[in-house]
Amino acid sequence: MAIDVAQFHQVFFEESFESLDIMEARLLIMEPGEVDPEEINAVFRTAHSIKGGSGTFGFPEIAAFTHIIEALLDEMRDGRTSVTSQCINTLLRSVDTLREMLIAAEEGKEFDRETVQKRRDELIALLSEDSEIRTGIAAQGEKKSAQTGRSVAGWNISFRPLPRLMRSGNDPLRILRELAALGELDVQVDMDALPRFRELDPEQCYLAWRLRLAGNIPRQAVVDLFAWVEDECELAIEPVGPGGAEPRYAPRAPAEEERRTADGGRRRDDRRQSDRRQADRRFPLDRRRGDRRSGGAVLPGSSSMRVDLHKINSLVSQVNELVMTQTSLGLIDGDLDAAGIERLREGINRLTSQTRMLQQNIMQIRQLQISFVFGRFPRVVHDLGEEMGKKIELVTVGDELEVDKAVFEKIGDPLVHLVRNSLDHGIETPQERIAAGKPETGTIRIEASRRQGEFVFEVQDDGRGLDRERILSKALAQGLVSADQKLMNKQIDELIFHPGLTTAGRVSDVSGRGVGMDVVRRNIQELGGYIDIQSARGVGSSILIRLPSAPVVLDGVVVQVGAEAYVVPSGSVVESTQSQPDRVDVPAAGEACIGFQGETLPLIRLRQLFAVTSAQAGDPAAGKLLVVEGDGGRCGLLVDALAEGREQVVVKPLEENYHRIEGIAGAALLSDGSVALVLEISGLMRLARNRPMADNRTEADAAADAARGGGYFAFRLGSEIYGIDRALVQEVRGREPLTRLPNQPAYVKGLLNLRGSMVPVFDLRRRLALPSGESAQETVVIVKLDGAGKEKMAALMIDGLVDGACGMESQTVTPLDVEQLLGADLFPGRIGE
Amino acid sequence: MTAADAAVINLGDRLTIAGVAERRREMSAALDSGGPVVLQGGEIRQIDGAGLQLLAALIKEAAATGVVIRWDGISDNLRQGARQLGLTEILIRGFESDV
Repeated sequence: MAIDVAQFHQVFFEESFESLDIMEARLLIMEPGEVDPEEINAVFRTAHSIKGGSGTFGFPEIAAFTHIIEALLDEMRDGRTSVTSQCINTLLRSVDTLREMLIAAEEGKEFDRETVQKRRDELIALLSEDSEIRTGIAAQGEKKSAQTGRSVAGWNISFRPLPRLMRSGNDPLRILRELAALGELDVQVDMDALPRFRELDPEQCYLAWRLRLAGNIPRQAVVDLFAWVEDECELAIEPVGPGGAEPRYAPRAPAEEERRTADGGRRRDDRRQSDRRQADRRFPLDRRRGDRRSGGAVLPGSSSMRVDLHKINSLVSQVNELVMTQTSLGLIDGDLDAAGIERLREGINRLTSQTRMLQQNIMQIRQLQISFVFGRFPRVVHDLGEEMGKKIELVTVGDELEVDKAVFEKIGDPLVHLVRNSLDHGIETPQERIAAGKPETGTIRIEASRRQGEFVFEVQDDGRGLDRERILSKALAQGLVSADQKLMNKQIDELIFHPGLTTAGRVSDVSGRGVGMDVVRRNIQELGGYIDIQSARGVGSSILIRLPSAPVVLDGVVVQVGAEAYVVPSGSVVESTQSQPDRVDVPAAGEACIGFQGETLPLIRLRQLFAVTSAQAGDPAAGKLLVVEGDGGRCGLLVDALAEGREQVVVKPLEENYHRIEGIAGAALLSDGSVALVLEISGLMRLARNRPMADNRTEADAAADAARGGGYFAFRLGSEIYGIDRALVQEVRGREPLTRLPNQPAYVKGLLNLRGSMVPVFDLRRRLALPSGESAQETVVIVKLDGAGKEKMAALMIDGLVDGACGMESQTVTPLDVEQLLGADLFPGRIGE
Repeated sequence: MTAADAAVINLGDRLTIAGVAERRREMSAALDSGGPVVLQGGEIRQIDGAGLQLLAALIKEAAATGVVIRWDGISDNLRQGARQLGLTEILIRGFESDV
């Protein structure tokens, strides 16, 4: 075939998953009883488009299954079949089955035939007695069992392709060739629609055919040959010869469908587009919700997400450069005359405006509405509510909130799990609720908002609340707490995040899927977020998730603590001048406080919190004080010095090459070329409240990879020659000034600016617990490591290279497995770490 | 009339939807020349509905405008395709004496 149909497959699958979402969303709002035929018609149209595409692109089984769905919808639309909850539920399950079939087709795998057959039987059972499908099946069955075999002399076929038929990869020659293989074929071509040569679009089909296929050929065999194009042509198949044994079941001619939807292809296409746009607004779900492949690109409805991520990243770099140029320009203080200075200023203004425009565009590209995630919930609530006999009202607030793609992709599953939990454990049965004096219908409320630089998600229910006694007894039984331990309510609640703790008396199909709250918390923590639960017995529970929104570019105040510079986001600063607090209370033990505008605020001494060592006392009176604001309220932040003015910086997340650190939003390049950490105030306040735990990570066993073959990159550490896989080595460079990272293991020396990428530097000697040597370790080796598909860079401090560093054999070096050595630091969430 | 006076179109070994747009331009120019058009179809190995339709349109147009068409070779695949689409009469039979 001239056109490789496979090139259209991806679009077909995307459109089909989109159509399924539309079907599902519309079915979910359908109530049994009287239904507006137009509502059913809308579902019908989406099913029809899937059927057409499936046939065209060579998935006849999907087309056949969808045909039955379509038949049921047709009967519902005409009133031949009543719209019952059984109908709606069966159709919803069929949507799931269809989704599974499409996923299997997309992945080139076999679908579950048993499920498809079961679903097919359920659908057929709902069809009216005289439906074409039922009678057709019966007729076929009779034919087979009784072997009456009423013969046909053949078929008269009228085949009139729509102009687009060839463009969609179909070829009339192939179809007619295959027809000819069934029996003797007489072909009459109709060239009446062929235009003058000058007006001819040679990729459109203008020819039509009248065909006579002789022989006792089953109608289905003929129909099957047109399955690929039934949406792309007008087709009529009539029996010829005596007996006229035409089966009663035949798929509706697509042309008939086009007429039914009025005025041909264009309007029909418009309506499909309109449906799609509507779906984007209403329930734009993940394309393949059953899909849990981590690497899979989930493409929500917005076409903007089809922008290549590399392109976005390069735009971010562009912004970085622009910002740096702008900052440098701002520092120019030469011998310019007044006019020159004015011009310079104008230039700077332009640059500023351009930078901001670019920044906005970049941010916009990566933003997705959270409604894409919320779209999952109506189905979850519908299905589980029915399954568990619970009545639930779902309320979503903040659907329009836009979040970064990274957040979008990771927040969906945790939220679904929380909603499932609320349904399963929280909301009571109607009887229980009435007995407790509550409304029969429970409420689950999901709210998304953006507060003070953070995304906040809240899942609330008015159910029974946490059963602390039960949680505690389970925790005791599992040895998570000891009998003499006295726990506050909050601490008991926190136990639900412990792996393995389940209070469910039974393993339900709903929340007993082996995925617990610990996994939810881990997902949130991977995003640098925080999860909290509040619960009241008999009243309900509320789970709050906070995620840093981490703007890429921000205005900040640069502060100094010891030799380290930090950037405090301007948006978090309430007072940044030399204003003195009303009073400073520094108790001997406990938290220091300051009085500020009549309020008592906790005081964070950055020096102590980040354990910055340098010869300077932490006397509040000697330092500079900022009053800052985070989600947890206001606090005083004590630093050594404040730089004048503000800087606009590009924030590079530490996760790019390392992992997230509580209280740090990322690292940024300052105008003088040095690197400073950007503070994240809400995290900083949490950190101050909880005080960091001592680093208790065990040191991994060093040099475990002695079995590796040759090809090592060798270097010296003390008196030993070590080797690492040379494929990992990117470059060797001299050690440059490092930016210290607070509260990290001693072998993490800080961040190195590698052409704009912030790379963590590891002291290998410390990591391997070797005695400290005399070498100044002035050389670093840059390596690139792969953690489950994510590549990160790291710098290794070494004592020096050895001659012939590359390609040394394992016999001559002590091999080091860098991935294992640094895996826990670089890829903390990785399975197996 | 000799081949030297005619616009010669070598149809190559493939006449499918992937190349019909370009081929149409070539044919259009040949028709515009007003002289005879010679179609070299002896090497065609691969042809589809779009290719056959293009030939049919060319020949129909030539008939309408009085342009003479001649075949200089017709491959088996071309014959077979024309037969299967019911285009033998218009594409080939009228030119049997040519080939």
